[in-house]
Amino acid sequence: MRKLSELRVGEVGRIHAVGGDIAARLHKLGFHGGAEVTCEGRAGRGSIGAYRVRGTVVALRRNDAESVSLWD
Amino acid sequence: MTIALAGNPNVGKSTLFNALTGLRQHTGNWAGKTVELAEGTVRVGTERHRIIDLPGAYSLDAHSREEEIARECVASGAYDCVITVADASRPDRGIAFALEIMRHTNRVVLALNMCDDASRRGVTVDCAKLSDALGIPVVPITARRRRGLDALLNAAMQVSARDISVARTEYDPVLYAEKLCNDCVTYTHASNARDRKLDRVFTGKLGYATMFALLAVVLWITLAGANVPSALLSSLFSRGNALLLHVFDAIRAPWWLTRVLVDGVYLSVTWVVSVMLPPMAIFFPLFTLLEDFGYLPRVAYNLDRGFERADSCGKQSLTMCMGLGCNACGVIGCRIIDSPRRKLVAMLTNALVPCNGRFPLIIAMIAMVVHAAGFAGTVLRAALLAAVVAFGVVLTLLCSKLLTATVLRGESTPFILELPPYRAPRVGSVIVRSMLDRTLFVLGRAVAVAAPAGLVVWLLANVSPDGVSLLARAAQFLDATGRFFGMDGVILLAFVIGFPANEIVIPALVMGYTAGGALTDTTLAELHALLAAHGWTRVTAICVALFALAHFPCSTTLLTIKHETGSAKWTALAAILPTIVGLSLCAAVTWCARLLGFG
Repeated sequence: MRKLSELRVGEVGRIHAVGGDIAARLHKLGFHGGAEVTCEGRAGRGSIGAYRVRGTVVALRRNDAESVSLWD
Repeated sequence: MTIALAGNPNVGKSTLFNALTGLRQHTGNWAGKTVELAEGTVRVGTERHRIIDLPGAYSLDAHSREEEIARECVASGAYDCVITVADASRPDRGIAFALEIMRHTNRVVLALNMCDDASRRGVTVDCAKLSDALGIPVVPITARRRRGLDALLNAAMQVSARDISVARTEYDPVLYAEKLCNDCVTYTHASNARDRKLDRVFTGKLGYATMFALLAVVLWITLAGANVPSALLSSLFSRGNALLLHVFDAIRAPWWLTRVLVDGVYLSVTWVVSVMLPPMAIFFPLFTLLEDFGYLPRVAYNLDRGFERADSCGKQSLTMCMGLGCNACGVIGCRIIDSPRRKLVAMLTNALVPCNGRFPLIIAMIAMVVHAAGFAGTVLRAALLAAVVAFGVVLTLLCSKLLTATVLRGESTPFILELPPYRAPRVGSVIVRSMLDRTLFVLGRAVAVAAPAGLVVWLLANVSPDGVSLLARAAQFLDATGRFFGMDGVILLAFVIGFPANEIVIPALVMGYTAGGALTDTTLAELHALLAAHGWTRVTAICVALFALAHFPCSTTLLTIKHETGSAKWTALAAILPTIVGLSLCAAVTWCARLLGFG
């Protein structure tokens, strides 16, 4: 199963599950199982990415984005 | 009656608060603008009602300080109703937040803000349907244009009269809000195409280049634009000087009183005003425009790799940007950082970014190194000033790393940064706001310090037991140390005298070199001639610029750090760390230059 951090720029994925410490916080921002997520860009040689869920763009560092898994 | 104003960050909550209360609570397009509660009043008919502005929060789960405050306030029930604000172009989060609040009270109104923006983005919300589904009034408004405010207040009055009852619900607010949006919101076209295009310029591969270019352009406009009004003010003040001398002469004031007031107080104050006011009056509005536009979170996004490697919080970029205006404000801004360890890192390193009060000094030093006149000269100086600021950012990162690797080690915490939609800044209100709230505030504080400081410096320069003034003695005492670091005793003394406010370093230098006498005209050319006459070289100017960038923060900033940390130990470190960095840099530059045969 792929991770959110592996989503290519411009690619759309569907979230499978969110784990880790930030699961609850990300849930409030719309990052939950079944939600559609688009990678809008990356910066700092891929160390941080911008992800859009339902009109809200959130930047996550790589290790935080790794706690979000995507449906294949 | 008391109305609580709640909502997510970046939905224009502070703008609505200002529109309702007529206050000028500072607004900005980034998360964490409002950390403390702000209060104001609004008039409805003949009655005045209290409005409490809660910090922007994504939920009431208390994941951050803002959310804790919002939660405490909502749970306390110390209000008659809650207006919760949502962004009409992406209402999901706001509706979910409203649903969370409705677990505490049924006296809720949902304000859909920025409806003009939403319709431009092709988003339409069926307010009646949404209102039926939620069981609370839903009012479309555009706070910045004051549209829909009466309807909003009427709805607030109505729900305040409701009997309090709370629905015990099992559903998940986020999922339910998304279901409601699927039913009540229509999107006619891709609502964020423009934002994506802008992000391609401001972030990603071009991010760094755009950032430096923007900084250089802002500084160039500041430098080029400030020249004329600065010269005008300065000539005006020198006429005032002559006039004052006449007046004192006419009333037969004793010579020492004339001199202490004219050469001491008047010189310091007019220097600060003529040198500081024009650049600030240009820089602050430009900076506020960028802030309003939504650029600051992009800076944090672009620079995040550096901050991640320094093991500090990504939000430190934001507090650093605030420090560019005023370090004390930057230190207060560190409240937006949740981790106590990383908050300390951000506070201790904030002064490594030059504040507006240090700009004139650094600009004068750059002008000593690069004399070139005309357009090319200004561009070059602006680029150099931008490079100095960028160097300050590098120092911030290095010092942050040093701190997190030694005294402030700890676990890393997750970092979530919202990149809000870009918004067209409100040029008119930005200029008024930044002039009144920032420029005059900072200037007022500088003048309040400059007047007594001018008096003290003049006295030090003119009280001469045994024929040598106190100032000269102190300078003599510091001279060897100063020279080791590429400066001299007067320069070090000027920095010490500039401790209450760095703006007065230059007037103190002038009085130190002229032994209490004054320049007849406060122009850069005359300043440079005076400095050169006292043995200044380009290396001296570079050292002073470096020391201006990195030395003990001003007293206001240190008091703020003391207040925020409650610790004398951390405050001392905040003073010592940049001083050591600055002195090391100066020593390195001086000794390299000496070995290579300059200076």
